[in-house]
Amino acid sequence: MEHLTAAAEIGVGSFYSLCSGKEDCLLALYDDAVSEARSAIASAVGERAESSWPEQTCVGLRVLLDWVAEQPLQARIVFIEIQTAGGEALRRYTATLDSAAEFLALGRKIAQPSSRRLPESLEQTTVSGIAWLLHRYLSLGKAASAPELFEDLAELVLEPYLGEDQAREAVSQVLLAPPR
Amino acid sequence: MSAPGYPWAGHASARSRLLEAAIATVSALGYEIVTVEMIVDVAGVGEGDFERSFADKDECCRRAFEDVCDHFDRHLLPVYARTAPAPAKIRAAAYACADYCREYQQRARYGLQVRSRYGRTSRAEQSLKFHLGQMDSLRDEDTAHRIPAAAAELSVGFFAGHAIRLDASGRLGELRASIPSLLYSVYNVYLGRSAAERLLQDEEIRGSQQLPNRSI
Repeated sequence: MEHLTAAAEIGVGSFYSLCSGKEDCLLALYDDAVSEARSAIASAVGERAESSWPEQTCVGLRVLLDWVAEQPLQARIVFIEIQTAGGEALRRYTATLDSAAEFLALGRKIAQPSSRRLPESLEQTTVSGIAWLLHRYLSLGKAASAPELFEDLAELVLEPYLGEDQAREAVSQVLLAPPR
Repeated sequence: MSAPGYPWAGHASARSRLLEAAIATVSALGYEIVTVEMIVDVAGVGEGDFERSFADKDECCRRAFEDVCDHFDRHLLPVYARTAPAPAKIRAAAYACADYCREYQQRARYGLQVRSRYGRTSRAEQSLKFHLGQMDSLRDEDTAHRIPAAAAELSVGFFAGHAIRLDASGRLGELRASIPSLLYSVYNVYLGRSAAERLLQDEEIRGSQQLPNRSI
């Protein structure tokens, strides 16, 4: 608490007029950071509203990785610090992951016939793995390298639905497309 | 919470009791809430015992995390040490991991909860690298070109991330039911979609016959 009020150059009384405590403060920071990342993703995906699910997925992933690289402190709140702050914090964290998993699950509608054997919790597993990998990159101070993960991650996300060749093709199109 | 209800009361050394008490209290209440007084009370030792063993709560909890890393690694070591093809070994390790989460739920919860705080210590890094190395035994020379550099971290992340989600809803002991899905994602990373689909089919057949063996 002393660190927080000193860094913000406010008194303890002022702090408590804004937040009920340290956990409340972290939750507010988390909500702000998630909202910012979501806005960036929604804006980029919205510009391609007419595009296909694979393209929207790639664009969303690319924006997320760029955001981690550009906003490492906020990304730390989203992927690391929130996990240390108790039950309500973990509930919000998993709710965020669930909403990303719901979007990925739209891929089932366009999955190849051979993809009928997709596990029920595939999307939750995929999102959890990516979140853990970003946690690791941030912990190691490698946030600036997060965008380098794009090609591999995008192919892995798409492959269960599209197969290896089509997944690679979809990622290539996003890599080659000029930014809008 | 009081000491007599805990299995270590009256047996282990004061230091061991304090470590177990730290694991029990933090996994139940969260790191921020737990105090040295709570740990001492649950351990059933004197404050002097704590002061002789650890500088403060942070050191006690860090040592407890290292203890959990040791315990978890020892649990999986016999599985990794067996002579078997890499996919079979990773499958067995996945089920052993799920069994650990069910049998030692407090320890598993503790490890997941304080990982962000102590995950960069040398013991934690050593443990993680050990498991990453085992996961990377799935790398096949023929398909190495299509396997991402971060494959091992991503694959361990499938398990750790899913365990965190289950823990958040109080269902960590149910990790075993998710193993086929988790292995599908791992196989997809290392061996491709066809291998992952074959695995899922095999797991369904095994599941319809009996619970998967704990051994290979």
